[in-house]
Amino acid sequence: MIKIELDIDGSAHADGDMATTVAIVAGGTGIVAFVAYVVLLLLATAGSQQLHQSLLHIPVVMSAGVVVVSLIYLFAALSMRRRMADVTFEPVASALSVFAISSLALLLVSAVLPLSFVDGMPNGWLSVVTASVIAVGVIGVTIGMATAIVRILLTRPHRWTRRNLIAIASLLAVQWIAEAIGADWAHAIGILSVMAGALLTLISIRRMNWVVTLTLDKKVRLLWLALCAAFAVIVLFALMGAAEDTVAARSVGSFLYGAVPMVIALNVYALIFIVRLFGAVLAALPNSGIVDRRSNEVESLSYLTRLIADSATTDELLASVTRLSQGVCRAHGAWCETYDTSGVQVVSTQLLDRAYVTSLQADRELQRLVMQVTTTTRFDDLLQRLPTSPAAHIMRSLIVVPLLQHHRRAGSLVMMSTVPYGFDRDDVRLAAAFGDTVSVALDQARLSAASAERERMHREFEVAQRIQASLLPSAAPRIPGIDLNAVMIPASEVGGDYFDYVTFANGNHGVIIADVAGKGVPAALYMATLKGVVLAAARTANGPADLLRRVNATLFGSMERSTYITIACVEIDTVHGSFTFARAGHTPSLLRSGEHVRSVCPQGMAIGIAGASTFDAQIVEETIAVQAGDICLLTTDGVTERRNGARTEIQLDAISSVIAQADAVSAANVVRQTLAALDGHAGGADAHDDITIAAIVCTTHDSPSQPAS
Amino acid sequence: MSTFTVSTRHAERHTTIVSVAGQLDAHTASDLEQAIQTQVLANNVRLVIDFAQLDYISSAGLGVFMVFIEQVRSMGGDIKLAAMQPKVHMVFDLLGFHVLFDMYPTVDAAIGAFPEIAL
Repeated sequence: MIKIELDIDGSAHADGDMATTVAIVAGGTGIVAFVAYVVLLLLATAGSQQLHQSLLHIPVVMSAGVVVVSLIYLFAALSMRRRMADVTFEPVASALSVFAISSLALLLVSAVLPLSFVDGMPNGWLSVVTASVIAVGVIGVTIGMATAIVRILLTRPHRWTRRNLIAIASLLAVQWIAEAIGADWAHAIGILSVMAGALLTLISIRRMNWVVTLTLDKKVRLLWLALCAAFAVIVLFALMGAAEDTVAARSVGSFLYGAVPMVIALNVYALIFIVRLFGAVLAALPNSGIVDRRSNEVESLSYLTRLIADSATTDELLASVTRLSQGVCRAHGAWCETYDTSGVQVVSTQLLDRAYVTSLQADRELQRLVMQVTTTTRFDDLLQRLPTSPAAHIMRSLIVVPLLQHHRRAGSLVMMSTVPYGFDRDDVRLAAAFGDTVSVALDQARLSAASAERERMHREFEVAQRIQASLLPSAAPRIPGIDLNAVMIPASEVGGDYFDYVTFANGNHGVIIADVAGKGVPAALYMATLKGVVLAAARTANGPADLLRRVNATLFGSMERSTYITIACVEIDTVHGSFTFARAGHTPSLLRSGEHVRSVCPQGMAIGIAGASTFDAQIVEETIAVQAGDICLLTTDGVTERRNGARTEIQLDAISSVIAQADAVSAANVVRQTLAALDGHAGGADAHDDITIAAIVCTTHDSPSQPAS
Repeated sequence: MSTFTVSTRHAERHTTIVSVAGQLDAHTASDLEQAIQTQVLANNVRLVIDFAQLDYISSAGLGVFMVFIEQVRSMGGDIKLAAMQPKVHMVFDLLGFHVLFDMYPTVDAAIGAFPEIAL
């Protein structure tokens, strides 16, 4: 026993491989020692010679000792091979059953096989072998059981467990030595030792609370196994007998001299453990239902959480929840229905035919009852509640769990029982917890779908904005004596502003600036269309008014009634030193000639509101001679209507004063200064419209255009 | 953010006066659209829009009149715009809407512009 102690201590850190090696070596050594023992004993007792007179006496005793030590090591190593984190049902159950079966097998062997003893020693080779087998069997079973119990005790030890076990081992050793040397006080020591050992064992196994958490089924099995094991111990007692003249006692006594009391003592301790275990299981039996329920609940809720994470669709989730709730509440059937504009949908059923559940919808009373509950509700006797409902004859009691999505009733989870009062308060509580969890999951599903949609929209807007930016010219054409620059700053989303440089049929360059009414994707699509139309029409257009007529003729009719496009167009005639303006409903352009700033606003109506007959008659051109240092500024109403927090609009006058003072060094400069003035006006308020500014500067020399920002 | 109200009343010569006030923009255009739609469905197609209290109009607001003008005219009615503040008038003017719509300095002038109906 001391060896077991040390071994267990040591192999608490040893790994499984080490334990396996020890078990193999110990087992091998044991078998070799056992065979040696039998052979030596046969040789020693050949010719009816007494063993203790034989020369082989010492080797025989030694080999028996080796067998016992090997057995101790073997069992210790075997039990240590798999580490036990906590006492669980399986190892205890297997230890008890192995113990019971081996004991009964030993009973059978000792009863069936003939044995004859002469002077305390087996007589004849058959008796020698049988006695040896019985002795090793009894010792082995006893040590095995002892090892298992020690292991169980050490897995859940308390302060004194370790010390108690060492004390018991020491008592056993003293008892054996006293018996072996045949001292007069051996018997008294034996009784004292067994009493002390029994007490220590009882103290050591004080904690048995692991039994409480077992399920009812396992408790019942453990109860039976404990009974069998107790019976097996009694069998072993009977084999050994209080009197030492039983077959097994003689076998053990002849095998290991003086070991009988020690084996009996060990079995007494084992019996104490088994009885204690039996008592603990019996005591824990009444609350098994509650324990089962609790563990079931905890498992179900954590399983539900996993389901929610794993379920790809809402229907899938609801189907799993239906199955789970039916199992946990032990309902005779369950279903889940959802409500939407098209009516009641049966999403999933459990233990019930879907067609049957669907047919229940015809039962108006029942349907009303289910839909009207606002919290998880139990109906103990449905027949009493709905005496005329045909379904109430089958579904005698119900639990209805309302499922909510965004504070709105989205469906119901219904559990039914075929008996009245089929559910208790715990079922309702659990069902309510399920309902809450599912409602949260439904909300989350809705939110994540909405946020995925937002995310997708946002990405599309980004792409649209990039595409729109790519539709704008990246560099201005190089025109002698003219510097061009333009910039478009989109508002938060895609907009309908547009500017471009065009070349007319006569080879003159022009600048066009446009604003599609409205914002967002429709405006951006019109803007893209507009670019194509403008570039195609410009090639054959004789001047800005002609260009705008062609654009209107192309677009009118294909545009939405509620929308229109305003355009301002300037043709730059470097030969005659003049700008020709045309305007289709657009914000007036500004022209600085010398010191004077004027707004240029020739007659014309917006594109897309009238057909060619009206539009063409309305539009007129205005040609103005320009000279070096003159500046023309084209803007969209995002500029003139740019509001600050107080919602005052920047007037054309304000822009006029900007270009009145502007440096006519480069068009980029003019654009930059205009933007700076706008920023000052808006006071940090977000632009609610796109801002587009195009500047044409008459320079005396050829100046390169630079980007505005 | 933007305040806008629309109210309708019936006036002589079987006209309906639609009075708009505040700011007519993308957010409030649908209110006006609904108000006019209601009148058109009730076959009240002799409409006078009273702009006296309107401070601001955006492109979306202008679009509303474009949506209905053809339908109203095909039903024998018209949309006449009246009593615009100078700033609002300038927007209509710049866009060339005066070509499409009859604009009057007062509501009464607009009503008077509708011919008498011979019943």
